[in-house]
Formats: sequence, C-alpha cells, structure tokens
Amino acid sequence: MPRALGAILEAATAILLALLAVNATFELVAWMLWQRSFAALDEIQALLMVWFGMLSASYCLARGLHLAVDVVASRLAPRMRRIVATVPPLAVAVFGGLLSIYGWRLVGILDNTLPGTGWSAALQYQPVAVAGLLIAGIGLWQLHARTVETGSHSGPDVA
Amino acid sequence: MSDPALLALVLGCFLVLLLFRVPVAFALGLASFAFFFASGRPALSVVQKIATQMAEPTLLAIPFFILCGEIMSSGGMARRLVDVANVCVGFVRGGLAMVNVVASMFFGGISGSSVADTASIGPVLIPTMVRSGYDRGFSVAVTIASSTQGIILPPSHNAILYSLAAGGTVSIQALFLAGYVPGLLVGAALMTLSAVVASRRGYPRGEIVSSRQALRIAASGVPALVTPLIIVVPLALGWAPAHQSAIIAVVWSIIASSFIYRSLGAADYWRVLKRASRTSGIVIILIGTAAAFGEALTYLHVPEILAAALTAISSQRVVVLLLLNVMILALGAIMDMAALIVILTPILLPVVEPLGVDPVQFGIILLLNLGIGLCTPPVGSTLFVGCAVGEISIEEASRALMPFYVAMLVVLILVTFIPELSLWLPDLVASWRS
Repeated sequence: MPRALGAILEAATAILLALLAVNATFELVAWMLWQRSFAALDEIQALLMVWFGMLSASYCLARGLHLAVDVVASRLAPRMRRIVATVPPLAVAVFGGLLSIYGWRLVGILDNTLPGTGWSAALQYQPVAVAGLLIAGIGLWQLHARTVETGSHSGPDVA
Repeated sequence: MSDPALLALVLGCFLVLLLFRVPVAFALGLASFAFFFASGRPALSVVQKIATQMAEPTLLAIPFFILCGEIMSSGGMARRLVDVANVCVGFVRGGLAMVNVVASMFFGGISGSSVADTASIGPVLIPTMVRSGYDRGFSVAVTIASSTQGIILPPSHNAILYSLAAGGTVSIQALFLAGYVPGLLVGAALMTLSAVVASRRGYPRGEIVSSRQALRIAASGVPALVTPLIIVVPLALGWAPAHQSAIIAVVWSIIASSFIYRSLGAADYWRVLKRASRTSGIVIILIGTAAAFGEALTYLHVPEILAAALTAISSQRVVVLLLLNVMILALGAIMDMAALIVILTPILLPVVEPLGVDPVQFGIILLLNLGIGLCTPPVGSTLFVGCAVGEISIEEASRALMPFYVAMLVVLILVTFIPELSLWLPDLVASWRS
C-alpha cells in the first residue's frame, strides 16, 4: 500500500479518536452542569464512531494487524502457501466491494433527517461505503503485491 | 434453500475463509453476506447491522479504556506499580515473583489488557528476576500467567465486548464487579504456586524497604492506583454508564501523566492516540461484522441446535459446563480472544441460560477460559509477547508454564462451579443500592 495512504489513515483515525474523546468530555460536562444530554452531541458521537471504526479497520488492514488464524496456512508446503496467500486479499477485496455497493445503496435510499443535528440519517452509512472502497482497494493492492499482511502474531494488544 | 443447507453454507464459508487465513472480521462479514444472498433476505441488513452496532454508545467505552491504558502505561506507570508491589510483598522468599503477580494485579486494573501487562511489566521485572537468580523460564512464565488477571479485573474491555456480544443484555457494571473475586483468586493461586516453587528452588528474599521509603513509594503510586476506583465507582454506583466512566478515566490519566507525573508531552499523546486507534480498529470492525454474523446464526436457530446437541450428551449442568469449558479452552488455544468472545457469546449464552447459569457468571467463565488460551500455544498473543520480552522459545516458556496452567485451571473450575465467587459482589452492591 502506498505509504502516503497509510500515513493519512493513521493520522485520520488518531484525530477521530481525539475528537471522540473531546465530544464525550463535552457531553459529560454538559450532563454534570445541566443534568441533561444533548441529542446533537449524541448524533455527532455516533457519526464519529462509525467513521473511526471503519477507517481504523481500513488502516489495520493496510498494516496487516487484523486477527487471523494461521495454524493451518503456516503448516502448508511453500508452493501451496504461495497459492493460499492470494485468498485473503481476494476475499478482503470482495468484502470491501460488497460493503461499498450496499453502503451506497443504503445512503441513496434513506431520506429522513436526524432530530438533533438535522443532518441526513444516510450520513451514518457513508463511512461504511467509503471504507468499503478503501478496503477493496487495499485488498486488490495486496493481491497485486501478492503479500499476505494478516497475522495474529503481529502484536495487536487487544486482549 | 433449506435451513440446514443455509447453516452448512454459512459455517462452511466462515471456516474455509478462516483456514485460508482471511482476517476473522472479514470472514465473519463475508459469511454474513453469503447468508443474506442465499436466503433471499436483503443484503443491505449487513451494512445496516455493522453501522448500527458501531454507533452503539457502549462501544465507545472500548477505545476510551484502551486509550486510558495506553496513556497510563506510556507515562511510566509500570515502574511505579512494581515499586508499590515490592513494598507490599517483595520481602518474602521468592519476593520478586510475588511482586510480578501483584504488579500485574495493579496494572491489570488500569490497562485491562494482558498483552499490555506483559509488555509493560515484563521488561521491568524479567531481567531483574534473572539477575537475582531466578530461572529465566520461571520468570517469563510468572509474568505471562499473572497477566491473565488483567482480563478479569475491571476495567476489562473484554467484559464490555462480552456485554455487547450478548446484545447489551448483560450489565457491564455487574460484569466489572463480578471480575474482582475471580481475578484476586487467580492472583492468590499464582502467588501460592510461586511461593512453593521459590521455597523448593531456594529463590532469594527481596530487600525490606524502610517505612519512610515505603511511604514515599506508596505516595508516588497513588495516582496510578486510584485509576481503577475512578473507573469502577461511578459505574458501580450507577452515576455514569460505561462510556462515561471510560472518558472520566481518560481525563484522569491525562491529568496524572501530564500534571502529576509530568511524564507525557504533546508528541507522546500523538503517539498514544495512534497506538490506541490501531488496537481499537481491530476490535471495532470485529464487533460490527460479528453482529451481522450473529443475526444470521439467530435466523438459523444455531443456539437451539447446539443446546439440543449438548443436552443429548447429558442434561446435567455440571457435564455441560465441563464440556463447554473444554471446548472454549481448545478454541482459545487456536484463536484470539476478542474474535472468540464476539462469535461464541451469542451462540453459547442461550445454551447455558436455561441450565440456570447466570449470564454474568458465564461471562467471567468465558473470559477466564480465553485468558488461559492467551497463554497457550499455538496461538497465544500474551505467550508470544512474554517470549519476545524474556528472550526464550515458545517451547521453553510453555514447559515453564505447566504448573501455572494447572493453577489457573483450578481457579477456572472453582469459578465454573461456585457461582457465588462471581455473583457475590454484584449482588451485594445491587442490594446495597436498592
């Protein structure tokens, strides 16, 4: 994957996480001061969260950080392993493509607005469609490069 | 397509993709799409389910707890907690092994991650233990095993994952409180084992710290030690939901690291944000696609089918729970924790609930099982990190871990068959609040 895209995604997810923290702090302070929550802040939070979730998933894919099971694949003969190595990027590209197609379809269908911000409800599904495109692109690029960047050993500290 | 054929398609698709090393999150998503295409249901539901699940406010607690753990561990917290643990238990025979267990107990209460625990405590304590005459294998094994406490002791983001995977029906507050006794039991079991090994091998006693020095160390550890309280108390008392407790913890960790310890600058925060985003990114997409997959399994009545299969073997609660423990342990040895929580919870919870198992207790059983799985080969992220930090092979570490596996399995059996160990504290707080 071109390094520039990786760097952009990394920065974007870090900024989104910071924005989420700021929004949540704001919400907490508002709740402490006025004992009420604001629908607009909730809606912004939900929107930021979907963007954050989808973009960080794309970034982790590009960095090969997603959890995968390599108990079987790692025991195959080298020739077989090379053939099998084309499956993950292909599957990822197909998944990304499906997400994008159905994501845009959903965006096209929804015409109601959110009560707090007055924004279109379709906005919540836009990140899925955009990230689907990114995921498909990364998958195709990985397929082209014939690299398998997944791995459960690569140090994700999720446990 | 008939239901059995659909089930074969969905599970077959998922398993084949997994075996071909497709990331778990994407394998779940593709299997869900396969179900919706084959059953003639609208595939838009997959996208809708993923986005809706991600927008769930409770989910916000996960990146915030991860962020809090990252801030605290980047701010030199591990060294301070080791010092505090040393004051508490360092003076006994095999003191450094005890310090390792207690420091993990403290650190787990902040980070909620066994991998982060091993990666932070390991570099501080393993070389010190080896220099003091401890066997390298034992030093690595005690570091890896004791980090399991971080998964059960609150705030465990895996507990939040479990609650979300259960459709939000299991209270995070109750899960957090339920983790205390089993987490402390794991600690006690590991300390007992360490004491026995230390006495047999003649490991040295640690130095006794003067009371003035002990006070100074304890004072410097206070900002780190109060973090779990800052998280758990508002949640337990019902003052704030999980994501608000999490943001309080983030704000506190920034105050502690920037103004009390003065250990983090602006550039450090940028690095911390990037690291937390990476870890969160792995988990959040997993929760989204697992929700879509869970919907497919519910349509296909998978929990009912599994329940029927298990009760066909035996209708006794004890036998079914033992079978489930063996199954989860085996799966935990080959698959990662977060993925298994989101896949297994919607399937197994409806199986155990009719047997009278409380969902909160089952959550702790699941977490403990999978925590042990993280320390076992062939796929154990904590084991890998421990081996990398301690510079020993997986085989050597696994051999040294054998007695620790036994100790943790004993605790697992206790937690499985004595519900009060998990439920006593949540029940107590609930009755106190009412």
